[in-house]
Amino acid sequence: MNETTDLRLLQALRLRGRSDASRVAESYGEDEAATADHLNRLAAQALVDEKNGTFVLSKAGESLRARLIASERSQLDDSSLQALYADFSCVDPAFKRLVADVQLGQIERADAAQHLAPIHQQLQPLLDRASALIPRLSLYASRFQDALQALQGGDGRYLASPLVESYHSIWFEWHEELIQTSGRTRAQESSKAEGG
Amino acid sequence: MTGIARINEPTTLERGGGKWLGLCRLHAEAAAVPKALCVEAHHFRELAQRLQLAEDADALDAKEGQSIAPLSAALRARIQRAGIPDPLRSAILTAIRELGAERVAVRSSATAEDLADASFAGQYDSFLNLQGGSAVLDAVLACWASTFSDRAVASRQRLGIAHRDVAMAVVIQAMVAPEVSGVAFTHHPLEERPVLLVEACTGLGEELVSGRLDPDRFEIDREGQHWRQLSGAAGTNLTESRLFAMRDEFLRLEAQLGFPADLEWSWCGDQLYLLQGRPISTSRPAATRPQPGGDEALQGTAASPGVAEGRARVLLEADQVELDPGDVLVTTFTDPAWTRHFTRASALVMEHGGLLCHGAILARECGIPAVVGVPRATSNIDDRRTIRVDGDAGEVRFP
Repeated sequence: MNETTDLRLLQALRLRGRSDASRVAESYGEDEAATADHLNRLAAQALVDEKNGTFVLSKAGESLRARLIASERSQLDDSSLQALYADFSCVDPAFKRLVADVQLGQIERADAAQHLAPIHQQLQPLLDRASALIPRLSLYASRFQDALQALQGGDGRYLASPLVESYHSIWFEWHEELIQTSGRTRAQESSKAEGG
Repeated sequence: MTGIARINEPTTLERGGGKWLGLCRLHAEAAAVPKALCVEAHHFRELAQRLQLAEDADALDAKEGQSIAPLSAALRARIQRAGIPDPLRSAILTAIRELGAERVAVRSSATAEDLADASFAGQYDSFLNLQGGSAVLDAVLACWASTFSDRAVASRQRLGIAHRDVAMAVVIQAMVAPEVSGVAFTHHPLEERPVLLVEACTGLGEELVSGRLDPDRFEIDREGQHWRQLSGAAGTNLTESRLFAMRDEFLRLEAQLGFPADLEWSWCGDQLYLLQGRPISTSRPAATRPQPGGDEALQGTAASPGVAEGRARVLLEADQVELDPGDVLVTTFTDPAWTRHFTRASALVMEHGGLLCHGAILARECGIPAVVGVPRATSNIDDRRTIRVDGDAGEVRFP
C-alpha cells in the first residue's frame, strides 16, 4: 500500500468508527476480503485495533491519518478547497430540509426520489471538482448514484436509514470529508445551528 | 339528527378530531373560515363497535417486525364494505344542502391527531372539489377507512398510540377558489429571529402542504416594516400590503390562540381565509418554551418526537464505549462515526445542532426521541444517570 491507499483506508475507518470489514469496505471501495486483508495488515503495524472482528483506529493510526490529511491539504490550492466547501454549504440545507420534510410527513416517502433528483443534479459539479482536486474522493459519485437508484427503485430506506448505504449516510461522510479537507473541524461547523 | 356539528357549536378533540377543533378555534377568534360542518367521531366509533374492529386493530401491533400492510388493508376493506348507515347518509345530505356550497372539500379529522402534533399531516385522506352528494358520501367513507392507512398505523406505532383508541371525525367544508394559498409560521420554525415565515403558491395550497411544489418564501418582521422574498418561482406576486395584512391577522390570531402558530391560509379576492391553525410543532422559540417548575429540566430544541427514559451515556468520542440497548446517547455533536450508536440508543441529547442536523435526522430515522441544542448537556448530565428525554417538549428531566 502506498500513502494514498493508506489514507483512503484510514479515512474510511475514521468515518465509520468501530466497524467490521464489510462496512469499512463500503467507504473504502474495495471488496470485503481485500479490505479485511488491508485492515489486518494495519493491525499488525498497531495502526488499527481489532476486537471480535471489528476494527477501530488506534492512537497511532489516528495520528498518522491526521498527518496524512494535513499533508494532502498542504499540496492543494486552499482557495479551491474553500470555494468547494462554500458551494457545498449552499446545497447542504436543501438536502437536510428534504429529509426532514419526508420524516415529518410533509413530503410522501414515495415522492422522496423525485425531490432528491434536482439536489443530486446540483451535487454533480461539486463531486467533479472534488475528484479533480482529491482523487481519493472520486468514489462518492458512484455511491450517491447507487443510493439514488435504490431510492428510485422504491426502497425508502435509501433516503436516510443508517442501516443501509443511504443517500444521507453517504452525504454525512462526504460532508465530513469536506470539513476536514478544508481545514475545518466538526466542532466549529456544528455550532452553527444545523451543522452537527 | 345529532352528531353533525356546526362550526359555532362547542367541540372537543374526542368529538371533532384535531382538524375540526383547529377550525372551531380559528372561527371563535373571528378568523374568516370557509363554511364547514363536521361528521363527529362517534359515528365512526359506532361503526367500529358494530364491526368489532378493536381486536383486529390491536393485532396490528402484535406482529412486530412483520408487514402490517395485509392487516391494515383488511381493516380498511371492512369499513368500506360496511358503508355509511342510512340515517347518517340522509343527515349528511341534508347538512351539505344547508351548507349551500357548490363544491366541498372532505377532510379526515382524527381524534389522535392532537393539535400540537403535526406528525400525522398527510397520513389520512382528504378530498377536494367534490360535487354532488354521492361523491361526498364516498369521501366520508374513505376518510373513515384511512384511519388504518399504512402510514397512520406506522406513526401510531412509533408514537405508542393504541389503534383502538383512535376515532375519525370528518370535516366537510365549502371550497374556496383562491388565487394564492400557503402556510405561515408566526415564528421562524428553525431560528430565533423575530420574523414570520410565509410560504405561498398560486391556487390551492394542497400541493404546497404536501411538498410537491417549490413555493415562494417570504420573511416578514414581526415588528417593523421590513420583508423580503427568500426564494421561489411560484409567481404568487404577493404585494407588500397583502404581506402586512397577513402579518397583522396572523399575529392577532397568535395572541388569541396563545401559541406560536402554523397557519394555512388562502386569498380569495380581497378576503383572507384561514383553513387551519395549530402550534408550531417542529421547534419552540425560547420565549415560549415551558419554563421548568420546581424540578429541574434542561431545555433544547425538540428534534425528534417521543419520550424515552434510560441510562445516560455521556460520550465525547465515538469509539469511547459501545452503548447497551436502551442507553441514552448524550454528546456534544456527531460525525459519521457515531451513526452506529443510533441503532442501540433509546434517545439522543446533543449540545449542538438544530432540527436539520445529522444527529436529528438519524434520530427521526431510527424513531427515537431527540433534544438537541442543549447547552452544556455533557457537563450537566452525569454519565450513567437515568434521564428522561422528551422529544415533544424539547426537555431533559431527571426522574
